[in-house]
Amino acid sequence: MSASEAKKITLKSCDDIEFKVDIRVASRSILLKNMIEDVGETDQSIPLPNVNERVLKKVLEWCEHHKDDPQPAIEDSDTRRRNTEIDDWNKKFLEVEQDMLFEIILAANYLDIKQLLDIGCKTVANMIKGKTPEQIRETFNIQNDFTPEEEEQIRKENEWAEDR
Amino acid sequence: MSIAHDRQISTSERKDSGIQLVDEVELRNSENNRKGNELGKCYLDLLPLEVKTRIFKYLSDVELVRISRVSIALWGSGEHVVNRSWYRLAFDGSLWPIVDARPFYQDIAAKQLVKLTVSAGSFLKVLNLRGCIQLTPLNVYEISAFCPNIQSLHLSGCRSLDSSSVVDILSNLSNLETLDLSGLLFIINAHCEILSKHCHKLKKLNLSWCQYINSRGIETLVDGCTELVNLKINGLPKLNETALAKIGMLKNLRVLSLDACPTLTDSHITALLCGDSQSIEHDPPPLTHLNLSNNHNLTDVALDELSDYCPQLTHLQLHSCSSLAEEGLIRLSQKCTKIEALDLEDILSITDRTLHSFASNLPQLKICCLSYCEQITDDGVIDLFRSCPYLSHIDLDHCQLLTNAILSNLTTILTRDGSKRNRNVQVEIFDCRNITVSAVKDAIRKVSGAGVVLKVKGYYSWQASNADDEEEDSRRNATAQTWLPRRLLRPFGVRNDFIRIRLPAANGLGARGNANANGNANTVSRWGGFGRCTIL
Repeated sequence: MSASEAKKITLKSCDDIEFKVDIRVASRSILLKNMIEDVGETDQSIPLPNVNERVLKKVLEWCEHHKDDPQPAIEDSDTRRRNTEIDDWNKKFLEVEQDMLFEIILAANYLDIKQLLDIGCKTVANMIKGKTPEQIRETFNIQNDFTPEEEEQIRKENEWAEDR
Repeated sequence: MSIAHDRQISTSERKDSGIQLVDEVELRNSENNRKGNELGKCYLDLLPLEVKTRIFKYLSDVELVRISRVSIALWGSGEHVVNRSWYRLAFDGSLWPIVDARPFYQDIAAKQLVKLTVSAGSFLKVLNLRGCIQLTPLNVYEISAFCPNIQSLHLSGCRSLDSSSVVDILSNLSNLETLDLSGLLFIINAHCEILSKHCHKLKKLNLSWCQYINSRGIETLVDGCTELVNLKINGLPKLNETALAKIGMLKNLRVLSLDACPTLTDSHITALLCGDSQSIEHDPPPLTHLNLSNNHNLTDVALDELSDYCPQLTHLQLHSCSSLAEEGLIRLSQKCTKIEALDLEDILSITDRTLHSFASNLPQLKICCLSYCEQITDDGVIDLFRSCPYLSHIDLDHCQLLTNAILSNLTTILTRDGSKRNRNVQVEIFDCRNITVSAVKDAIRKVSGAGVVLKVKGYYSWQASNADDEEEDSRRNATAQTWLPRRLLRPFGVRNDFIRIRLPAANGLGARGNANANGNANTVSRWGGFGRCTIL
């Protein structure tokens, strides 16, 4: 075993639980990768004030599984993306309660893990696709704050986009 | 990533939608807050706006518009306003760098089109309004005021616009790279002048069938738009040699379409390639794609000029150039050996000698249209199959001398081992009376299971293929009458293929849409219908 493989760092969740992880695994997070590069080797634990134990555990599970993936190419943030397909492992990984799903997305955003953020966003997009506004409100517990008149008007305006 | 979430929705938009996105809505929230708590928690609201936008990027145009009906209000007040409005999010400019109305242009009102483009605002890069006849000059003035960064604009078929509204929008678009104004009769030399003055970055321009543009307009245009790579001016009735000589001075011009320009003669082609006999002399432009279809005055002299000055040609269309003789094509094939796609439909002088010459000189040939070349026989076609390993699409409509032998030979060649050969082939044989339906079935059956995809197209209602849609095809196959000669079908209401052949510009020729799968997708997305939709 080479020395680099053994290198580990300690992450501390906001509820003070410590995780010892391989640097390679932690480096899936661009935030942590940059931090490790800046600080160098350290025995001190890195506090992650925005992520609790439950979520961090789940995120690290993802990083562990994807530790050998190539780094994603720089994206073209301009265009809309059509492909919302998610591979089976990731699909299963994100079969969780809604609160967990959104916390994973938040953590991926904070830790800067692009691929995890993307599959999270795709999952939510797939929850939106094909639903009526009423069904969407129900799915995400959104308050309908239109007045009936407004709703009727906007429904008329959007008529061209219905049934496609 | 900077996203203008805080962008105020424009006055016009507010007016259009009739929805008051002002303080009143925020006041409404205090009541709603209470109601909101009675529902479960909305976890989606935990996400910051840029993540929500990221999610919405996976939705299509119509999906975005549809979900704008979910919620409207901002929540909270003062500094603590939380944007929970799906309405605002759905119309956030960053989600609309491309407004492409083609999928819904018939159903959407002009007001809604303007709303989409104005929401996109300075984010808007690509605006495709092809065929939106509902669009009025006033609409365009509005779009022009809000969207200064458009790089690609398609107004073809927007016939309710007028000259001055198009002048207005063009003079605001200094970053324009792609422009399609084809078929708009109010486009005149003045527009060429505007383009020349304001749109120096223009690379791709389509002014086809803008019949009131003449040589002077084209000369002005190319004086200013020197970066042009792709120019389509099909159907311009008054082009002189000086205009062609000026076009030839474009150093980057790779794609040129001059379909059905009635004044075009051999000396125009000379002017294009080396300058006119008087004042202009230049090196030939680096043309790779050239469409000269429907120019009845062109003769072998023009072909010889092409042979001498355009050895890099890959795509050449000479559809219905009735004065061309076979010798010119043979000489051309000896010099322009990089040719990948050839359209020679309705050139009656072609015989097997031409095809043998292609077979020995054009190893890259992928697409070849020989429909209505009534003198060609099995011998020449089989030689092409044998010698051109990349051949993926061949049109042989109405070649009455062809027999079943071409199909049986093709299947033998396709199933033979040969690592380099393209194994995805489409053959069109409308109205070849000596090819029978059983021969077609036989051919399809033979190639099945050999890793070969063979599609044979007969009539619109009849196609045979061993690809995935086999079942569907065999069902159609069962209706025997569809294999009757076209003439007999007409009285029964089957689509009139005569029109398709003689006026191909009038339809999209969707059947050929995939013909270019092996070509360079960037420069050539489509080889097919001639005239208005051509080699790019």
